[in-house]
Amino acid sequence: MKKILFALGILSVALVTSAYRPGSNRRTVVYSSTVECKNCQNKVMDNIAFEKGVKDVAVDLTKQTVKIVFDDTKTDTLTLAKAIRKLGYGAKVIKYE
Amino acid sequence: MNRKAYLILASAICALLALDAQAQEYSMPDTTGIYGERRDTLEMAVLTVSGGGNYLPKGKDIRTEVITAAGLCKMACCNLAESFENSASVTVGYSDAITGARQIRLLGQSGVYTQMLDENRPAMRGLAAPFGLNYVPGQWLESIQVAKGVTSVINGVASMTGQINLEHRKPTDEKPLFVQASVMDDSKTDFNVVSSLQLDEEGKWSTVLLGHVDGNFKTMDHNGDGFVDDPRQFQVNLANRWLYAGPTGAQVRFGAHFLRDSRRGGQMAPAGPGVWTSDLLNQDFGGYFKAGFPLNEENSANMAVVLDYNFHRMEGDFTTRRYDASQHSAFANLLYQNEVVEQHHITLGLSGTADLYSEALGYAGQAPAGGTLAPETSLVNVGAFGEYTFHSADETTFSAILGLRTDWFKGVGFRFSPRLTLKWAPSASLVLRANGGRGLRYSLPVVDNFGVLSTGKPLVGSFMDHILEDAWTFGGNATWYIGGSSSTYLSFDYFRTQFAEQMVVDYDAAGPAGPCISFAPLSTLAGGYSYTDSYQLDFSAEPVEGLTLTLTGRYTDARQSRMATGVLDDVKPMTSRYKAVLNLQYATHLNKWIFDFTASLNGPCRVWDFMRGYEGMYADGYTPTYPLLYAQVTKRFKGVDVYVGGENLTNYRQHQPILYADKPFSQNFDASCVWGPLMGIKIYAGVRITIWKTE
Repeated sequence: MKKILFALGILSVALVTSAYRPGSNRRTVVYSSTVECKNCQNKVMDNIAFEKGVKDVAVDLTKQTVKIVFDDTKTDTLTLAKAIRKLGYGAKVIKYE
Repeated sequence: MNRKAYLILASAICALLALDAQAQEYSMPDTTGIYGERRDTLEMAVLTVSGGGNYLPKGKDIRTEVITAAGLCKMACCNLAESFENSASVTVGYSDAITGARQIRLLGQSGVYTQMLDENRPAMRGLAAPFGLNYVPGQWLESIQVAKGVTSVINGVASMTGQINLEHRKPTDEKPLFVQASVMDDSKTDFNVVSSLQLDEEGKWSTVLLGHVDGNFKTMDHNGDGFVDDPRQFQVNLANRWLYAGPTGAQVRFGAHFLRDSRRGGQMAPAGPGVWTSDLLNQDFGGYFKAGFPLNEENSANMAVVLDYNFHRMEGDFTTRRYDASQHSAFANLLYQNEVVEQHHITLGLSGTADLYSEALGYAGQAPAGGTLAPETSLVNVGAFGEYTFHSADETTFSAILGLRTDWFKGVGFRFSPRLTLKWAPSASLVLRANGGRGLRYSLPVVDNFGVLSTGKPLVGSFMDHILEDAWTFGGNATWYIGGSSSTYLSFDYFRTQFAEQMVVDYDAAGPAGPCISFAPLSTLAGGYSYTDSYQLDFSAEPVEGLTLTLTGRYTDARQSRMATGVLDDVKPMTSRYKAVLNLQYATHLNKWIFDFTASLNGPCRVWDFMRGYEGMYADGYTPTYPLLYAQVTKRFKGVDVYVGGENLTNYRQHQPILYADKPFSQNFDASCVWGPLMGIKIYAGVRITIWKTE
């Protein structure tokens, strides 16, 4: 029982640390895109979430935008735009911060 | 506070702190389409692995539980039968301890009273029913919708307790290749391949190819009764579905499927004289055609035609008896839909089913042909229907659906079936529903009670008669969506199914030559009655982002008068009184890790009288209450999911599921008395690979 609890504790600490890593290199980019259906949304979510350096993804179907939070030491807006286009959707930067 | 308590507290705090996942808003599509031909397919979401699983959508006119693709990934879910393990609405059990046939129960009644639909076409009818749940690979499915109570009259009135609609992976999915493989520690192996292809730039033609193979290579006898716990089995299942989406809104869908399943159960010893075995071969193939055409530019009026043909052959050798049967089955539906004026919608149509059965039931030492008890039988019904739907101007506050249908049933005559559904949402957070109506279906006594083939008792009475079973179901539902959220809710529902006519099966009957199983129409039993009251409470919440909790409880009071016991003890045997299910799912940020845990508590069933006291068991006439635990961990990579899990982690097994296993040739031998798990703990591992369409 103690071992299980210890393992759970370690796992939780690992999750905390992975979730709260320093965010000084984090950037947010919003692309205007051609995503228009739930299928598109899932396709983007399922693929862009696993691109190197991506910390968060949100697809807004009503605004037809893809918002990505990423680590700028690992990727950049051009690489991410290319990844979106590879899925068959447009990607034009409309906001970067 | 001791160290253990500190550790628990620290773990809990850390876990809560870790829950900072940015939740994605997945508004679920309407995929049930119970009230008409779906027109949303091209825009329908394919919810990929993400938080959530089962939920009660606000917008449905009928109380509907949706099991999403995420829900289907919570467990091994090798086939449809296993997809309901985290649902309290649907209970899945074995028909017997020999063949591996699975059957569901909805509202406390056998699954034969629940209409199965394959994308809104009736499916798994007749001979396909006993093993039908084993013949739908879970990984082929996109979602399942379980609608309780009486549903639309459009697909006939065979649904008495509800409808289960299966949505398969679509031709329009941008996934040219999906592969899944899994293996269990008992050697059960599953392999699925699905390929969705869009064949032209305009998106007019698309197709999906679905392939499935499963089997086990080892058989075991954990309880030492001399019989294998699970039959040795091998299944090949193939399907191809097409969609043509015309530029004017017309849609044509057609497809075909083929299935072959062989299974061998019985005693472990090599087959030979004095050894009881069961050999079953099921073969099934068929095709369908659906077309929908808009009659005006706004698509406020349209016509649709649905045609379906299926052939099923079952060859069963149960050593002491043999059952060979085949079924040609056809279904046709012609619909006209029109939004007469805004808010008022009408559907008119003609539909019918025709089933040509050839059944031969032979006993030991009797060639099936010589012992044929039924020649070819055709069961036909043709009906005309109308369904009027009213929706309030905002389309959410109020709706009423009145369905009227008249069918001619061969050998019976005309029957009229009304059905009414009401939905009222007095506020954004409260939805009230009520529905009721009549259901009718032909009985198939042997197939509906497949377990009787795994007993030594002779069948007596009307076991080859196809009477028209007749039931009325009424019920209601109240769902409170807490704070207006669609994922946090408390729901209660109650339904009663009352039979006016039913084939009553009594395993406790006694004939001049000893125990037997009697079949008799309810109407022939003096003062006979049969009804079920079912109550269910559902709670779902997301206490913190990424963590989903669902808690469900169901209580069933099933009563049926039987010949052996009259009305003195009318509790329907082998129907569990209650079931409670707790499901917890935690998904880390971007769903890269998903942890699933399901616990269920399964209540007692009243046993048949002949089971009482057997080997000192069931002294009080009831089976014990037992828990089941499931857990799974999924790690997601780009295009690849890897998962490991365990089923029945408490290793609970029904003790001695086969009565008189040491005397399989005696009249008392009975393998149909199954109420609990036959297999103990199972560990499995699997992988899902998805290749998305790219430029």
